[in-house]
This record gives sequence, structure tokens and C-alpha cells, in this order.
Amino acid sequence: MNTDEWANVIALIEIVVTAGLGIWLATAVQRRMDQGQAIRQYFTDEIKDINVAYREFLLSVMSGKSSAKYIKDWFKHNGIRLKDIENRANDLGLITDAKMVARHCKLQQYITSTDEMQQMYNDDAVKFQPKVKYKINQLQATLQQHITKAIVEINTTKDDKLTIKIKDLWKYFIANIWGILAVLLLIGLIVIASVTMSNLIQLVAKL
Amino acid sequence: MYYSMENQIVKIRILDYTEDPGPRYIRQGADSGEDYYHKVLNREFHDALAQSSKLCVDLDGTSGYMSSFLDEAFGNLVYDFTLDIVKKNIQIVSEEEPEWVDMLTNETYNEWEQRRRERREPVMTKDQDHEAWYRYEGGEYVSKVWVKSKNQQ
Repeated sequence: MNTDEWANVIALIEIVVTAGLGIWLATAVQRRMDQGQAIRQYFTDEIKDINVAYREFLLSVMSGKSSAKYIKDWFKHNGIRLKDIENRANDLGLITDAKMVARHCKLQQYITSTDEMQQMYNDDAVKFQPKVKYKINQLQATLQQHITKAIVEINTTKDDKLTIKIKDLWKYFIANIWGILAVLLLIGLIVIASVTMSNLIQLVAKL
Repeated sequence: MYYSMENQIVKIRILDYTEDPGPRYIRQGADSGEDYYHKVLNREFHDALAQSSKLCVDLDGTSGYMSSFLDEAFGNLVYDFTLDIVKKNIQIVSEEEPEWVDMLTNETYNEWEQRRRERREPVMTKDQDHEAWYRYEGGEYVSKVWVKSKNQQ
């Protein structure tokens, strides 16, 4: 092969490598973005589920249809569930300073400390006094605000850890593209040197 | 219950008393805070102190708590042993619901210490005779029936 042919081979290699990197980058970033969207959707759905469960539970509590034991157990079970979601969303950077669990605990502490819960502990259902219901309503409203805030934050936070991962991926690409270009340059120089040497040897042989 | 001699910690679990902790007072339902205090916590805490150990109480594993159960059990402990002694010699742990630990240490302890200073004796369930229990009095731990229900008076 002469010098022009070698140059064509190198150019072809460059095109293939660059195209490959482009495809890899595009698919990797897209995959990350899809993953990020799926994660946001997952946490949103989980919180919405808990919100629905809360509404149904408090409706039953307010209408005097739940027993003290059921109320006590429900709070523990759903508190653990809410805590797990809040912690994981927090770890991923999707929410910051969320207070859903804190508000859940306030409501739990208030309801389980009421006289009605003690006096009707063995009854099939606990019927709360109007002033207790009023307080429960207030605490529920505050919890609701924090749930809504968390859902909004999950879906609007830009600089979360998912974004950071995409940025990391970009940095990785940038760091590696220089390495790849350096290798290509080195290969090119070796090829050019060997072609030049080959031509010189042929020239010397003719002489 | 088991002893960890290395750290001088005596560990107990409320789960060993009941899987289903109840309300505040004995008259209100089974496995109440009052009952737990008089049957378990007061004696265990005293025994740990007598061995120069700390008492570690694990809240996990039960079906859940009413705040009044915990308030009555650990509040009585502060009333009988003082806030200072309780704080220095007890460890309450919970991985499932650590918020109860926060409530006890930040609210219950202080409220019951105030109550102790004002000498507002804890309420005892009527018709319920508790066996003698320990109280820190005059620099020592004294065991007797400190508060009597109406039928005992």
C-alpha cells in the first residue's frame, strides 16, 4: 500500500471509531435519562399509593370505624413504608429535607395518645370527639402538604444524583476521547513512519 | 434478656413481654404501659444499676405502639429514679421506629421530671395491687408500694 492508501485506511478507522463513540454516548445517555425518568415515576407512584392509603385510613378513623389495635398497627406498618421511600428518594437526591415521616409521626403520636384510644382500646371501633377530629384534620392537612411538596420536588429537581451520573458519563467520554485520539495519532505516526521507511528501502534498492 | 459484660449493658426487648403492647393503664386493656413498668422495667432497671450496668431496651419486633404505652412506662421510670439517673443508665433503641426514641428523650423524660419535681404522683389503676417497686429516695434505692390504688388505701 502506498501513502495515500494508508491515509485512507486511517481516515476510515477514524470515522468508524468516532461514529461508534457517538452511538455509544447517545444510547448511554438516553438509557440513563430513561432510567432517571422511570425512577422518578416509581417514587411518585409509591408516594401517591401511600397518600391514597392515608386518605382511606383517616376517613375510616374519622367516621369511627377503626379499632384502636388496627390504628396502632397501621401507623407502624405504613410509617416503615413511608420511611423507606423517603430515605431512598433522599439518597438518590430526588428530595431534600422532606418531612413526610416527621409529619406521619406527629399524627401517629397524637392519635395514639388520645383518651379515646385508651378508653376504647378493647372496642371494635374508636369514636373520636369533635375537637380531636379537628386536630386530626389539621395534622392530616400538614402531612398532605409535605406529600405534595415531595412529589413536586421529585419531578422538578434538576441537579439530582441521576443528573450527576449523566454528567459523570459525559466527563468520562471527554476524558476518554482524548486518550482515543492520542492512540489514533500514535498509530497514524507509526504507519506513516513505516510507509516512509518502506519507500526509502525500495528507493535504496533501486539505486 | 442477655448480658453483654464487655460493655456492661443489660439488654431487654419489649417483644419478650408482649408482641402487642396495649394502652396506658391496666384498666384500659391488656399489656399496658403501667403493667410493663411494674412487672418488668422498674426491676430490670434497678437490677442493672445494682450491677453498675446500663439497661438497653429494644423497642422493635412488636405490632406497634401507642405513644401512651411508652409514655407511661418510661415516664414512671423517670419519676421513680430521676431524669439524671435514667439518662445516664438507659439506652432505648429502635431501628423500625426511631421516632419513639426521640419522643421519649426529648419530650417524655422532661415532662415526667417536671411532674416528679412537682410531686404529682402517677395514676395507678384502681383495684390493681402492684408489688413493691424501686424508687430513688434519699440517696438510695428503696423498694415499697409507693402509691396505693383506692382499694389499698
